[in-house]
Amino acid sequence: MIASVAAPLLRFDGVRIETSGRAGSEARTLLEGLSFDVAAGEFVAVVGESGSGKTLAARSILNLLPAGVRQTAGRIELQGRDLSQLSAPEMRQVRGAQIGMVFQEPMVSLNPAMTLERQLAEGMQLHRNLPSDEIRRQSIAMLERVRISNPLRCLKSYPHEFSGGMRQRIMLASVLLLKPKLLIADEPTTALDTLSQREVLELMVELAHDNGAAVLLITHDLGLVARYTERAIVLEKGRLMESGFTDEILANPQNPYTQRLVASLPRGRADLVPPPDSAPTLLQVRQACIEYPGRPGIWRAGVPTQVVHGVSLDVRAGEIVAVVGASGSGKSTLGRAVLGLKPLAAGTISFDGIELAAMTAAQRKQFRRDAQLVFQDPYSSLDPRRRVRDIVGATLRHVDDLDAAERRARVQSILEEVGLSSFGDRFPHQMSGGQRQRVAIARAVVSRPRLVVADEPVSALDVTIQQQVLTLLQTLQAQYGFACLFITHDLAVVRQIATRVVVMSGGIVVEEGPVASVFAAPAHKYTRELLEATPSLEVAVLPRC
Amino acid sequence: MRVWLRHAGSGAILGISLVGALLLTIAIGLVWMPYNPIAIDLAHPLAPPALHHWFGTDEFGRDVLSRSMLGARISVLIALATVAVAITLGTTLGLLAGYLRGWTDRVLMMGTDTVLAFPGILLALALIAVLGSSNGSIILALSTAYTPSVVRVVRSTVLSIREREFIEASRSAGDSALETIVRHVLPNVLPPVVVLATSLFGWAMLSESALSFLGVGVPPPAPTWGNMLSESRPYMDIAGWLSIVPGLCIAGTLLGINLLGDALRDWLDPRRES
Repeated sequence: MIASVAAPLLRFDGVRIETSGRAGSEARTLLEGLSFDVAAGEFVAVVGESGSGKTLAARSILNLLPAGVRQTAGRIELQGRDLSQLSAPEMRQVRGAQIGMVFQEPMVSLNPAMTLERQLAEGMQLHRNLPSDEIRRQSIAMLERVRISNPLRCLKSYPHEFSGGMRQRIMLASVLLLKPKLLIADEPTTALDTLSQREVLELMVELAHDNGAAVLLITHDLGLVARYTERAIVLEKGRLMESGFTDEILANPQNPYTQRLVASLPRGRADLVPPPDSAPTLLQVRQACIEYPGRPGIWRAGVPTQVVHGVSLDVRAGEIVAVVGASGSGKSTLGRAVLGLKPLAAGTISFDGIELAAMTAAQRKQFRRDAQLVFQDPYSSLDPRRRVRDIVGATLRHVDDLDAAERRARVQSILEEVGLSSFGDRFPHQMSGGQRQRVAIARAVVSRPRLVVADEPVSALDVTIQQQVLTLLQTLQAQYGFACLFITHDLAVVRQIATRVVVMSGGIVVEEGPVASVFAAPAHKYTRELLEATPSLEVAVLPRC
Repeated sequence: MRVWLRHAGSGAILGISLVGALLLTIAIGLVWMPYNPIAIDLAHPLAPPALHHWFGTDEFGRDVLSRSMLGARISVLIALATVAVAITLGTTLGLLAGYLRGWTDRVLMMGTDTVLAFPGILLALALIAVLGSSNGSIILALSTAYTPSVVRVVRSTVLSIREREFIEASRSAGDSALETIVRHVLPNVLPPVVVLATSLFGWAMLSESALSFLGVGVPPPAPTWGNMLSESRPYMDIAGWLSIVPGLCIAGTLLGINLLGDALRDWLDPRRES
């Protein structure tokens, strides 16, 4: 344990952050009386869901609060110096040089119009008086440290030439080049898939250790907290709920909110039973290949890129099958093809014994009713100009055996089942992410489908909401008995919801089988890597020093 | 209505008042005008505004107020019809090009880009030269010139909307392409279209004036605000009212239409309720 004799590196003392409440709106407190310390070299997590104020807390350290939001009480001290009293030029000396920040979105946090050499050099030119060949030498060394192959070429490149994971590593390099005493990482890997997430975080831990930098990791992911931090601070709605050693908080949470948070983590369930062997095969995919058209010229067709290469899988009636894979593995594309929304380049997909491509108009109509889709992003999957009632009812528009009154009744009853009975007249923007996702589920289930394709339905949601939505999906599945193709990158979710898992990588199926046996004894290297990279509460790689 | 007005703000109220005044003027003009707007009275040319000629008379002694009232009817009719044709046609083509992509898109865009390559007024001149000068041909010529810009705006909006997942949701519910376009794409492209329509209205009114100025507009002696303005040019220093009256009419109408358009766009947005 770090001796806390010296003054802490960073100290929050009763910090309050409010909106300034101009233009007729009331002043609101976004962060109330927040106090905590971070010692030099310590790894501390700030945990919370959206709206908890965790990002505001991080930004307030560097005085980067959004317009109209300000700190109205308390002190934020860096080695005993009150940061909120610093003048703008003094603050600039602190930013970058003493406190580095890594943002969530690697796609937008690097300037697309600048070469990486200039971006990496910018901080050193500002804060360290070094000759340019020395700056270059250090940049190259740092890029090697973050395992960018061919750093010389990298310096001449622009950000768009790199993947999200690589960009985040480059971002990390540019921040750590200045050897800050404190590194603030605001959801640094939320936009990345499991494997790149692990890569980036492990590099971050390693480099911070080498430089003796303390890390403030802002995250909603308790698995990451368990794995990478020594102490944690739990925030809810701008208030400190609990703080202490990570393993103690997670193993034995004292605060009701923390308890709820820990309980919300997806867990393996023993009570999941696969459908009986007599259950007929509902969906049959054989050797499916799917292509995206290339960019056409004026007189020639584009060269298509194949993203799914010969995938076969079966889903039986009433079965929940998880399709797991990193981004770009072709799993979402496959989900679209299963619903007939993407044409196959080769192979066949049959639903209930009828091949999709060979369906008659009447069969296709029935198929549209029997197979439904739940999307990942509830912000883009609901038409902003329609009310919830219309959105859910749209699925029934082509169901001929119901009259208008029956349709209304069906919509109302499904809204009740998803707990939104009074939300029929609302527009999507008047609801939270979790409520929207429940609307999306209601829309999929209202026609009593036999197959629901759920494409990452909970990955855009907060942990507690995620649990509610998963539970809802399970309840509805148990009630209506539809089969489900559950596409996800999160193995913990797979364990909770599915009985069988299909692992995809690079457009092919690398492994499939019952969840329990695949997770206990993964046969393929990729599955093993994925399982190792998935953080869970049980593992903590960081020994407390 | 009162609730809506309170939300709408002073801009919308001014917009509604101006457009309301315009419509009222046109309505009154249909049943009564102080003088016959085309009757020539050579005894009183260029009379300054006075009690019996509120806005004075022009070089032929015609009553400017009466001519403005009739001009309102013709100018607004031409601008309105032009905008209606350009918006309807442009939105339809833009929806098709943006949603269907592929060959439809390429052919339609080649067509619109070709039309766009000509300056709008030149194209209108050429068309009128072929069709002859009448209200109908002016409307046709101006809407042909304006349609491509509507197509472009609508198409680019559709391109972003068609990638949103609710479009896929509509397709997976069994909607045909036409149903998806009408139910989900069209409502979401309306806000930019409304704004575009109001600015086109202004352009149409000015172009009609420009055509009249070039002598191919609405044929005399029928008055429009545009040709009144152009005929007033030689007398600007001795009879300023001849320019000021139609000028103010055009400016006020454009202001009103634009404010109304902004209010309409906000009013159409469901987010306004929260």
